[in-house]
Amino acid sequence: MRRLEPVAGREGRRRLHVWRCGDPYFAERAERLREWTCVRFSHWPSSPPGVHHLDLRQPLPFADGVFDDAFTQRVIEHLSPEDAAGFLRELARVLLPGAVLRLSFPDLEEIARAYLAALDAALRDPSDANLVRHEWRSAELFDPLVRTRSGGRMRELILEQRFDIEDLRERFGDAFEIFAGTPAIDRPPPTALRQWLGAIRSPRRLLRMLAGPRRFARDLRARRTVDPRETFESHEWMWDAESARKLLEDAGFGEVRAASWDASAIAGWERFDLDRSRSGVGPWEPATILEAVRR
Amino acid sequence: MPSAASPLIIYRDDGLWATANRDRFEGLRVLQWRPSIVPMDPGVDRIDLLEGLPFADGSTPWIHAFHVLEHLDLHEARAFLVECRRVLRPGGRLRVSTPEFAGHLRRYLEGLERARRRPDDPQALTDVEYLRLLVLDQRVRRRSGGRMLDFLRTREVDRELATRALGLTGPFLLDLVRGRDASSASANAASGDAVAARPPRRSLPSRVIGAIRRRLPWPRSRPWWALDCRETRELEITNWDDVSLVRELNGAGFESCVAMSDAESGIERWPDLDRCPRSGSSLERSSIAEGVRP
Repeated sequence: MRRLEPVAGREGRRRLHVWRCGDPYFAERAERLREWTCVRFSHWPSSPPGVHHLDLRQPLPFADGVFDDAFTQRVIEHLSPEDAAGFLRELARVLLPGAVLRLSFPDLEEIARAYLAALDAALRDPSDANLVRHEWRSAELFDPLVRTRSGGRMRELILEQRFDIEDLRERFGDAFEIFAGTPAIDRPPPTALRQWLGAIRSPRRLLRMLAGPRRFARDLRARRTVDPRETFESHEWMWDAESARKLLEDAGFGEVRAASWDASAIAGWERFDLDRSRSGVGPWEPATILEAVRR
Repeated sequence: MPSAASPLIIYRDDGLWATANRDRFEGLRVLQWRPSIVPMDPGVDRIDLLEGLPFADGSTPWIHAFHVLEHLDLHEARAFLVECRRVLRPGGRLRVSTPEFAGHLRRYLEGLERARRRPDDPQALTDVEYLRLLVLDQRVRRRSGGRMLDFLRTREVDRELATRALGLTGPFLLDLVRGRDASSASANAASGDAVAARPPRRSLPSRVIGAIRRRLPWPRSRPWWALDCRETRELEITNWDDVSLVRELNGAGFESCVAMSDAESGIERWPDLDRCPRSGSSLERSSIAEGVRP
């Protein structure tokens, strides 16, 4: 297996950042992430400069104990419980003893409470606002788990204009606007023939094809995949603070604590502040955050 | 198209509900929705809900759709409700019953609170794990039975908790998975999804043929219990509660739609199919709603 070299930041600290959400997340933070080794959880194996696209169900391609800190942003819910346990064990392997792991994930408990509250409100007073809210809470909990098409029910609700923008900003932060701004997520995949013709039309891609034909073919296949379970879009599981704590402890982490979006035990966090939204007043996407120390 | 002069019962899983009601199905037209590859309950007609109901317009007095709606996606469910409306007589009632997901969530949250109050109690941790599996597993599993089956086989689940969570179906499934209640072979065949992962015993020649076929590159076929749960429709892919049931019934053109408990029904001479004939307790925890065809 090809080993990757970690990026050394200021003071020689090496930090690992893993996320799954879309390109705007990285684009807005590219400057701040210079000091981080960036890994995106993606079924698409090509790597643009600065970001490694990896399948986290496989072992991480780093040597043992090379990182001083790690931050995984909304990743573990896209892995099955077994794969999530394996991923955290891998993180424990690549982290030095005493290193801080910051783990953020959407909280099953919190979403369940929000859904039940919306259900009770809609039963008490079936006004249109309450019904829309109820539909969204139901989708927030259910849809990422069960969707069969990219975007799922949430995208349909946006296209049907059934949403309350203030409510969604509060629930999903910046992620909602990015999500709502990309209406053509599940365009039909190009056929293999069309892709190859397209590839040969562009000289740059023709060169890439000649340089590494097998890898190129694998990339093309990955681009045609739209099943949310294959592209890691859907949630394979959901975690609450208790189950995530147990997951961390089983993988060899200790001193598990809840953290807020704007503070961290990671040294120099003020400089990175990766969870802050565009407007600066809230988190990029609200989530439960735990921090733990590698034993 | 044949007319269904008797009431229609539509269900999917051959669990406790179907087993317990077998005697009460007399005079009703009973249909089971199964993928064509999965074996059927004896004496029941197969139906594919994705192809509509094969009955004439306005021919049936009432329909009870038991735990099928959650296996359809929202658009399929809407089409199915419209189809029910077509088949019902004017004034006929549709009763839809779905798993009580909101109740699963409430019990999961209570279990979590209890586990937090008693962090050293292993039973509280097992309980919350069971309740969490009830919330999550049947939405994401890939293999029949999923993690719930493994959990029931290896861990000791409190029978009282299972009853609270799933009605009489809870302890029924516990017994079934552990093989404690082998009293009736039909119950074993009628295992529902929880034991569908256990392959049926096959004869020696068919095992030999199977072993050879598995080594051939073509045709690639897999037995039904090894199919992806999404293909066999074992997954529950929509969430139904009192609000969404009434909303979709209204949307399909039904009138005076109301959510109700499993003890109630507006159907004339309702045979009380959702409760145990002896004890009167719930066979399964359900969200139920009824609507009248105008």
